[in-house]
Amino acid sequence: KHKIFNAKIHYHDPGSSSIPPVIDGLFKTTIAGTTAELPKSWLLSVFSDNAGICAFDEEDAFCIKVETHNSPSALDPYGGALTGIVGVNRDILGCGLGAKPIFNTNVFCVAPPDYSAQLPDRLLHPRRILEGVRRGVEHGGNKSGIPTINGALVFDDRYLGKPLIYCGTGGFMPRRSGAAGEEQRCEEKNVLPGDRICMIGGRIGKDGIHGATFSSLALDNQSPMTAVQLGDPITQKRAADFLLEARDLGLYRAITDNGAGGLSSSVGEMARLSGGAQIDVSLAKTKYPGLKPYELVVSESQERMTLAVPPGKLEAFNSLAERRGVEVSDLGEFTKTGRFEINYEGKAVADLALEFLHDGVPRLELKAEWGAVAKIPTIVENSALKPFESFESGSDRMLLNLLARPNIASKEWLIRQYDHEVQGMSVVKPLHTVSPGTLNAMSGPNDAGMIKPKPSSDAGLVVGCGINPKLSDIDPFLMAQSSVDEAVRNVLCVGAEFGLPESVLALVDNFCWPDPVGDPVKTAWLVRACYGLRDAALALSAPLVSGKDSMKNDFRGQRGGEPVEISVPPTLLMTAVARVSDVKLARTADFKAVGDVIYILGKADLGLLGSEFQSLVTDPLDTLAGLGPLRVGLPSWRLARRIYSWIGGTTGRLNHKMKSLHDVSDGGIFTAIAESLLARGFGASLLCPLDRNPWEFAFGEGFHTFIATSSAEDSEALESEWDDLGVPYRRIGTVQSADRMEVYMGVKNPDGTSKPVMSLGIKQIRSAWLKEGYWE
Amino acid sequence: MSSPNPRVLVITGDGINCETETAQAFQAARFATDIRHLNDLILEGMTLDRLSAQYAVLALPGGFSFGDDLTSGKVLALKIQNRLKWDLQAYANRGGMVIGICNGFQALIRMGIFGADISITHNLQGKFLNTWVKVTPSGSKCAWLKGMGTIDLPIRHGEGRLLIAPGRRSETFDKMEKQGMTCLRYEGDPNGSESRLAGLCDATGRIFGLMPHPEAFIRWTAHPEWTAQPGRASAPGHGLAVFENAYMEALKSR
Repeated sequence: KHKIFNAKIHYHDPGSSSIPPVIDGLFKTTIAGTTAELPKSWLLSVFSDNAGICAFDEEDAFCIKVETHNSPSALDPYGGALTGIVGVNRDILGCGLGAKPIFNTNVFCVAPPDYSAQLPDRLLHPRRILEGVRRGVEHGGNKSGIPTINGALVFDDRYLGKPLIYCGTGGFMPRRSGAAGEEQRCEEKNVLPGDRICMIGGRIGKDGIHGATFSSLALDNQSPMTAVQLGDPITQKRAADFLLEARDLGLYRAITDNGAGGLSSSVGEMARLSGGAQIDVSLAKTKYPGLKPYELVVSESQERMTLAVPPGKLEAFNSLAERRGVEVSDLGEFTKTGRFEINYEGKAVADLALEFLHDGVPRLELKAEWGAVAKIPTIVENSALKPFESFESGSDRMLLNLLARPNIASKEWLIRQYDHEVQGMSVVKPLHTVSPGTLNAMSGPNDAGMIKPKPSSDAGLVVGCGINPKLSDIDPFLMAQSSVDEAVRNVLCVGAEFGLPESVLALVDNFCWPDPVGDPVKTAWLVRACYGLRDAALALSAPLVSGKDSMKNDFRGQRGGEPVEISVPPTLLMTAVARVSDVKLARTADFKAVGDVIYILGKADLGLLGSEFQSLVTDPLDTLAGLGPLRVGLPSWRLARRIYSWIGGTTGRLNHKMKSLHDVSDGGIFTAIAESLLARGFGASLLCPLDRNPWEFAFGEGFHTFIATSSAEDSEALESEWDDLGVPYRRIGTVQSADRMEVYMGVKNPDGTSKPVMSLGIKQIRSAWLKEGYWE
Repeated sequence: MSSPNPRVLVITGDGINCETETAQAFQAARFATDIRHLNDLILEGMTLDRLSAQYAVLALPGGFSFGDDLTSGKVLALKIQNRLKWDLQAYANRGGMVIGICNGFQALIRMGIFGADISITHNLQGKFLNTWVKVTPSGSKCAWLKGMGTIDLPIRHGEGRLLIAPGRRSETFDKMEKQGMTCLRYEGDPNGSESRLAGLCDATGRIFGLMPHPEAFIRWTAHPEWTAQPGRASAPGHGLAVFENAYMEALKSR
């Protein structure tokens, strides 16, 4: 149970701060509290079930959950990732009365694949981690028949000790289901005394014993291999098909998955609904004999669900299971004794009061001290600085190097190994592809995935994510704001609705932290990230519907006999899911036609601090002249609401005047433009404004900025619409047939005498972006 | 005439995972569909006679039947041959039509529908691949591909490389060509398949198997480049014609 997120925290900040000095639980104040301030009629269930549940329409609901599977993936990347996926799939199967998993979203944070320093003992090279994880996702996702429609890869040396493996799944279910006359609402869970406790799916083995406790410790060279569970996607697929059939026949009353803690937590959780439970664990089917009673109770062997089956339905339930090749262990019954009684061959082995089970955790108190870390720096140039190269001579090489950065380069090698179209719902894929199936086929990145879950309806779901751990080095508050903003920008690009009364936009948070307990600075990072998240979610009116945290992402071991400690940077993954009323209005990031006008949409208040540019330049930026006063991009939520309400409002979506929209994130404006150009192979003629530092303009990163295109005929109407509404924009160029990206300073003379300060062939841009992406 | 629409039996269970969209594709072509679990068909003794009487089309959808653990499609093929005892050739001769998509195609190959000298194995790259391809029908034998030109479809498989027994390669291939069995080819070479073959039909042209997924391109908005022409967003996708061809054929065979 959220020990750290429920802790009482004493927060100290030497500066002025909107964060209170005493925090009565971060979960209560910044996560659940944020959602409570954003009442939405479409929120059906938040933070109580296995996943957050939102209404899709009158008939159906969707749900979403994102998990992390970091520690197992460090030891056994294949097993860890596979189990991560099938595990979060089970959260969806066990959500409400059982939902059908309809999409996966996977985000991996690993050390760079070209890591060449000596590895600490027992750690795997990032390439081995990535390859294992890739195979795990391929088997876990593809074999389960669930499309992987969205994802991200983030590289940083500090993920060497523990990679972060985020696995998310979305589900779809009828808002009412069950036998005629006995329908239940999907967000309600009931268990009655006398209901049978049935475990279905896989058998219990010794794998995954103490998986949960092991994951909650720092990784070291004593970490046990048996803590990694082993998943089998086909056993689970059988169980999943069976469950959805049994749900529609009304053969069970409640369901949950067996994840962390095994039966102890699945039965323990459900027992609260009836008021008690009695099971005999010797009745559980096992992989092999010889398991001790406590092992049966806490094993995290996979593919298992626990159900409450009314006694009158047991026979039908068992017979359907048999026909579907699914094993059922009838372990006992739910009671109202207030106790969780566990027997083995009829003899009592444990008897716990439910109160103790659920409320027995003493409350933690933590100190948080902000100020030890540098505040947002503002660095002004002075004469002591070393001159950085001129934009004219270095910008083309800088763009190519940025495009080749693992964080930016093509992920096509990975994406194509995942099935992203199974279930026949695909509308916007992870990549847009020009001339598919021909020798000239070329793909570029899209910002988010869109699917159409119902054949009978044009409505769809958009799924995107935001993650920006680089900013944690400046301020985790800003990092969290940025993750939220990026996730929302990504879904907006593809066509999410925003700011309308009926707009459905939900967020999921996943914190992966270095252990904050006993470390006031790391605790302050966590506090600041939570308040940054709260600030951004409230500003964008996007409630949090589900979340998860992983708080021990540290490695303690040895390298060449010397002790070594590696902790991940504070990392927050935000996942955004939005409903769209008509998938036919979707957009992709690619520039569509020669002559189209290219705009920056948004104020483009960007900075080089915390950017990929900064990661690439080997000198500290504050020792270099010519980069202007160094800044970090900051949010302006009022402006964001204005821009997003236009993009996601009626006019921005309906008239198709905006032919492409791409988020400006890693690598800044020029990187975003290059990404929009490379698939179709057009060129662009761009103007770099004279009133801005060109490095910052081209490669700065920040908030609320997009690259948009429209046809020349529509541009006037669009500009006057933006002028009227106060949506900031800047016309920076046109798409051209010559396949070069050319940049002119200030103006381009119509007589053709201007010389571009930067000129790159699209082929060069493509090969930079593709080459480093194909590392395998 | 008010006779009901022809029916399709879509098989599911044990790792098959494209049953829903396959049924939806048939429905879009006006068929009535039943998605049935393999075990139920075995238990209730669905004989070839009953299959022929009730269903105009049998569809084996994509997926990973039985995990593909003993080569792809093998266990599904054995179950159909030995538990259901269906002779698909006889079903086709009685007017039935069969489509096997991806894993379903692999199962048809394992059953020997296209001859004992045909097999299918891992892509030349050794990896699962989800991408879009162009495929072109050749010949006029295949009832499912009538009147169709080059179309775009997605492939999503790790084992799509057709092989012909090396010792008898040229005679086998010539014979298949002559019978019109080599009915669908990739424009490119996505997986190293023999003669760029993407699909095969039997000598009657009524049993058709292919690696690409026609059921995944029923709507134009499923195409990876559709947003370049938003005006076409309501158009049908290229895959629909495959199912419509089956519908016309099923009406004729009544």
